[in-house]
Amino acid sequence: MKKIKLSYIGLALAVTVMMFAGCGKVTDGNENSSAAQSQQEVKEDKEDKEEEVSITLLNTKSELVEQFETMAKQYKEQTGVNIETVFTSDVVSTHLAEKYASGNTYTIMMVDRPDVYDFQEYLLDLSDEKWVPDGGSAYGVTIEGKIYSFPMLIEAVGLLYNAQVIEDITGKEFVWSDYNTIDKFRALLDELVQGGLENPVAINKEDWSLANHFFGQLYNQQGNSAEGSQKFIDSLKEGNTKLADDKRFNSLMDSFDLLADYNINKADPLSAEYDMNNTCFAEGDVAFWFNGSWATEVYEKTDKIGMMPLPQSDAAEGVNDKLISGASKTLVIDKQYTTEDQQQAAKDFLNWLVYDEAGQSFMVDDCSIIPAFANINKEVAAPLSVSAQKFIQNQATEFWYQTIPGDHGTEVGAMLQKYLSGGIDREQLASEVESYWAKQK
Amino acid sequence: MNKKEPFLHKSLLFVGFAGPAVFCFMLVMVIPFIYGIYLTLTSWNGISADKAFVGFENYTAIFQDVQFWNSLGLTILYSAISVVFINVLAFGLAYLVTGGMKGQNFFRAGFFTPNLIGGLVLGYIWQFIFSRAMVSAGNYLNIGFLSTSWLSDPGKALAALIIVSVWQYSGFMMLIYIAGLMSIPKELLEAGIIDGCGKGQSLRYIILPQLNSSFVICLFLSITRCFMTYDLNLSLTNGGPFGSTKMAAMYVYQQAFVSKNYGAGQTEAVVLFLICAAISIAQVYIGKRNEVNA
Repeated sequence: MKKIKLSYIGLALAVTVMMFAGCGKVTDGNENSSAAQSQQEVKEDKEDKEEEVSITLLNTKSELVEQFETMAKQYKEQTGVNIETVFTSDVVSTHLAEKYASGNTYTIMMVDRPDVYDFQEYLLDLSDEKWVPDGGSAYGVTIEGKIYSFPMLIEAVGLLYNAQVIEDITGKEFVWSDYNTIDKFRALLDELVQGGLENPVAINKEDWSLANHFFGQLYNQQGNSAEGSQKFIDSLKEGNTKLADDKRFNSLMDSFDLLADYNINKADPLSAEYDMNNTCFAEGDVAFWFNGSWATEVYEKTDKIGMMPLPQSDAAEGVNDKLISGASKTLVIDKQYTTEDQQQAAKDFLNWLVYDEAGQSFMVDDCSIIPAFANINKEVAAPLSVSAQKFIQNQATEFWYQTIPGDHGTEVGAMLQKYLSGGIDREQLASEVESYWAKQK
Repeated sequence: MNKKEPFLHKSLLFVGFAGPAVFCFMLVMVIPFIYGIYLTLTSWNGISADKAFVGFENYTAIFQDVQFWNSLGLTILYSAISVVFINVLAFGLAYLVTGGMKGQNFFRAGFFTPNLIGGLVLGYIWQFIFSRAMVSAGNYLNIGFLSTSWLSDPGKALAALIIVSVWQYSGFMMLIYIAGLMSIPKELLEAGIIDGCGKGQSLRYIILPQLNSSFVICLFLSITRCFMTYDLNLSLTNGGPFGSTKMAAMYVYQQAFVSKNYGAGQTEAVVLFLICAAISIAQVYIGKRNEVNA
């Protein structure tokens, strides 16, 4: 009897041990601690003349996954440095918060601008890099006088137009600057309606689109500078600005009401899906879509797609001629969990992107992104990006204030959705937004 | 069994067989729970390496957070309605399916299938139904209340959530009721029939009291699941038209990870846990007291 019982206990304990062995393999197998691995590789390769450094790169743009992998192979051949690219579609700050909490993070990370502020204590100071005067200081993130981020690409926010559809109805070539006041724009919309396009505008219902992009114009168009926008935000936090009396607020909401009148989803504005709007725009069912230069799936029927600033009644500071643009995605280097060699390798990679022919062609030709650096003269291919790049090259850009709080999208977005569906009026919207900012520290 | 079995022997047996499970439970549930309670005493933002100790400030701040109590109230309303409908429907289906009709095994499997579809996938499927399929049908057939998406209106969005929860969980609860119904001794039912019970009386006086333990289990499961619902909330309405169907769990998640107030979010999670635990324990205790042993 006792023998049998002992063997059962032994079996159970053996199962326990096997279970933990399995656990160990799974956690170590998937995520290589890059520091430990490369240190080991460094020790092992001491016999080689060049020590092989291995760095990891987090890519958060789903459209660029393949391009990054091809580039990594190319970079390895060219310089011998091994870049392991990883992609995630999780919300970046949550993903990185988890990585830092477990002490197992990436060397280079592609993050959004607000994330640079959140993670600042872990990031490497890049103020002395060669590319800073070429565009790094203009488009990178500066905190307390130090630059922490490398602007990966420039994106623009504005009114996308399908020139083909417009020209089919008006019969003449569409030049956006002919319609850069709200009255001329309204006249054009009426003309389109009479020409058969019943509802020529599409408005997104997503809270990030309404709050961070459309409503964000309120924070952007305050003197076309970081200081101007910050001053406006600070006065909102202290409750010194009454939005209902603010000229820019009213001008923006006038334009919003105009777009909403001609909205293709007017009957039920909150049922509009981003993908449905995308299809309507590409197919030519709508002529105007308030979105941004990241829309890539819009060239099904025509290549005559471009973007323009939103026409407003208050044309102060030339807002009707300047396209809001900024570096939305930036690269940052971790300093907490990386070795000196890895940091240097990462910095070399950034320099390669800006100054090496292969790096430039990777950014502009392969990824079709608008580069932030003045020394790069290549032209992008996608028509929407070409249209946006013209504004950037002519220096007709408006500052894009991107350090809005993380919950601005959900909170203010909810208020704008209520306004869009007719639940509240403009004054209530103004007071709700004011109370949101009053709560922010 | 040998009463003289030494304590050591018994505990070795326990460790050998239940040890791994208890160990995993400690690691995955108990230790994070204790760590979480420690975090409620800090003002951590979820990212920085610095966790400033602030004492009970988070707990006092909760009472001023109106939105949290709104979410909680909404969750209680949603849970109450869902639990009632789930259990009534589950019991009804179980009663039908044990009545001896043809193909009842097929129906049992069929009614259980919705529960197998995970919360997220279920939510996306129903989101498509509510916002596209029903709208198209409503427009084609000119039915007023179907023509606009139910998910654009706060009241209807809540109704949509309730419908989908009931659809998902009824099958599971039905299984528990079936097990309960099958375990009622036949002699009791036969005695009732001999004494002249009709179907309704036999249901009310014999079957329901015997199912007391099934009711306790089902109520407990449905209350806790509805209280902590997050995946369905996220995929079906994502907080609903302008945040009107944001349940407590979603509010806590957003507070901790989106608004970056990890300390405050954790505190609200602890409060949510306490409320849910209190309701569940009270319900089980009252139920157990009424239990009838055959």
